[in-house]
Amino acid sequence: MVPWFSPNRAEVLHEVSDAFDALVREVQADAKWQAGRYLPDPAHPGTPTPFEVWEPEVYTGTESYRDNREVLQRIDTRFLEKYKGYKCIIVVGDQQTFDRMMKLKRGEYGAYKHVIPFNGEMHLLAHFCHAGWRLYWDAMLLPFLQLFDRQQTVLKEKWTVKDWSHYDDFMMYFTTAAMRWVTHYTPYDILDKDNLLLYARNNRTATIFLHFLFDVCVPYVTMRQLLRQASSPRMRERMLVYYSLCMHMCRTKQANKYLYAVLCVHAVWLHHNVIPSVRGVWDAMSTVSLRGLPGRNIPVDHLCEKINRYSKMIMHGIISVRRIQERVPMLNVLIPTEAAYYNMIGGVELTDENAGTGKQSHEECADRAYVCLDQLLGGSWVNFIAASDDNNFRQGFPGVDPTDPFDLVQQEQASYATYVRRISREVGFHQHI
Amino acid sequence: MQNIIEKALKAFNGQTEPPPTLNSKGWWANRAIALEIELKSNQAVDEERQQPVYGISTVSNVADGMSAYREATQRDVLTHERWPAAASVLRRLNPWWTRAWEQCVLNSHDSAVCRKRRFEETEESRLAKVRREKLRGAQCEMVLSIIQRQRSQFNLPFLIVLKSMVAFRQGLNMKYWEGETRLKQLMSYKWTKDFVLDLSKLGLPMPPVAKDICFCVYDNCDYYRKKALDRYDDDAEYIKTVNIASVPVPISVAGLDMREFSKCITALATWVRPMM
Repeated sequence: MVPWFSPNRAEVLHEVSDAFDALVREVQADAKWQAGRYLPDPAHPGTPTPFEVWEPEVYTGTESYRDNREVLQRIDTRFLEKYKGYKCIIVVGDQQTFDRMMKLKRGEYGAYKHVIPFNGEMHLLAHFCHAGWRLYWDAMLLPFLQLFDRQQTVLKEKWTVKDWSHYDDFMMYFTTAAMRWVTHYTPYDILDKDNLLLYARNNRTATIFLHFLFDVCVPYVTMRQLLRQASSPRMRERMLVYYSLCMHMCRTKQANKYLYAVLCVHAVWLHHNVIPSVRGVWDAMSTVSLRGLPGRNIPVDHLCEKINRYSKMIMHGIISVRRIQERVPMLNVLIPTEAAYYNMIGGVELTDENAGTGKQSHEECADRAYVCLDQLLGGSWVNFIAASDDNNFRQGFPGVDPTDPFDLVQQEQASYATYVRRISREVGFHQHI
Repeated sequence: MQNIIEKALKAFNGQTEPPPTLNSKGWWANRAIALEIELKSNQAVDEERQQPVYGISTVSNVADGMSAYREATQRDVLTHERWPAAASVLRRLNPWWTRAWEQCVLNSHDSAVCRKRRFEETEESRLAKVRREKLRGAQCEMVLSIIQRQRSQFNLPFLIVLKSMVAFRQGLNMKYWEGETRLKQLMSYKWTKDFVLDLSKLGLPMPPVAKDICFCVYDNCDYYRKKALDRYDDDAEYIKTVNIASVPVPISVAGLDMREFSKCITALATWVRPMM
């Protein structure tokens, strides 16, 4: 486990470097490049994924073990009615649901041996973003946002998954601006991750900026694009590499996402230990396509979030148990019909603006972020790498200068390695990892 | 059907009654009947799908009655392969109207000449032209759909039915919905709800799926019933629910090896128990 989650593992280093190089190539090829634009997906079958929305369980949640037990029982019964003699169920959920299922399996192994839980990656992505956000909030993001939004920023340190889209937008235009800046000022022959960190090691501002770019922005954008692709074994392998980055970030006190650190370990363990035929199903089905448009897949748990949102919309504000039970299954017809309708009436143009998928251009914000970054990073390569212990992001900003976020992560990595070695000796089951 | 044909033949031969005045209800009824007879005799065929136009029973409720007409519309909505034919049927049934509409909205800018003069024909421009024509076709169909709705409130033009379903999914504001219903742009809210309810009982056709492994996702979805907004006498209530969706596992990716599966169970048991 220690080597797998080591930040110096070759796969992690190569993956982040390759992801950065890919972004650099895109910036160099297109002056108007923006992070997070839809990419082509040749492996996509071009058809929407079929799904079935069930009549919801009412007066039931996902917090308590009892409720989770009931839901799993219902799933079991329904599948037994439908497919007599089925062998196992892959059940996907958010962190809370996944955690409950794992613990139910531990406690009542015989009853849930056929349940294979997997974690939904939309939630993972949103919490990865949140962890990075909290980690770099004091050292960099708050002062940057004050400058960027002229003291009127609406982005906060604490937010929930419901607000994720605003922060996702920020990450996209910040990455766009940062990549444009780095590509513009860095000499061509040293434009790679290791060289940049090496040259900028004596400049604190540059180091913080580059760590935010390499540890948060580039992995986030790459994961976002990976999850838009049709699911495949290669895509799953790449995604798992980012779990090791996410795990250490989530363990820090500033990020305060310890449960997601646990989830990362469980998810990696499951992927490596589940039998190949079940893994093959997960590899092929971890993302779904609502409209059948290549490059616009969503993780399975995102489908469930959409069902939640749509089910509230079709209630028209009049809530009763009967209405909920009657109307939610209507989505079985409504969602595919809506998708096919948009495809038919002209959502056939695959550019972002015309696809009817709500993506907007970040050009204006990216330009503004570029100007702010240019001001903070010195406006030239020489200033960028000049030795300095000051954090320009916090220049003139009140409050105590916080510890550099990447140092906090490194401390967590060391403490995790020590912890796992100790536990491994005590438990003796680490050979499965 | 026999009665209708007889009536139509009599009407055409002028044996019984004088012909109805232009644009009267009887005139439109006769026209619809004559059109259907003509279509049946000519066996007009859909160019794309080789499907007889007459076979699309959603165009008229005259011949088959309301119940069969509604069921036919449901079949069309549920079978996505039929959509191109169903969504273009009014254009093909009403060539005169279609031609008139095209003339009315004819753009003075001749794109073909302009492109020839200024640009070379590329694959991209060709596709753009195809998309434009497709969209113009849908626009024309929508105009004809509204005209058909004006003929009778019982007509269910395919595009308007689809549009109403989309509006229902998106939770369109009720006042706006009422206005659109009056303008014949949408079916009424109640009609749409009943229609979708019937459809959801029928269910969409599913591809063949693996039976040894299942795949589903669930998440909580909580509703807050506000007293001020609802129609109940009791207190405001927080209703917790769990939404569950299953995704059918294609046969191509399934295939569970039971020997592997039992190994997996053993591994899980040995790993998870000591961590309790």
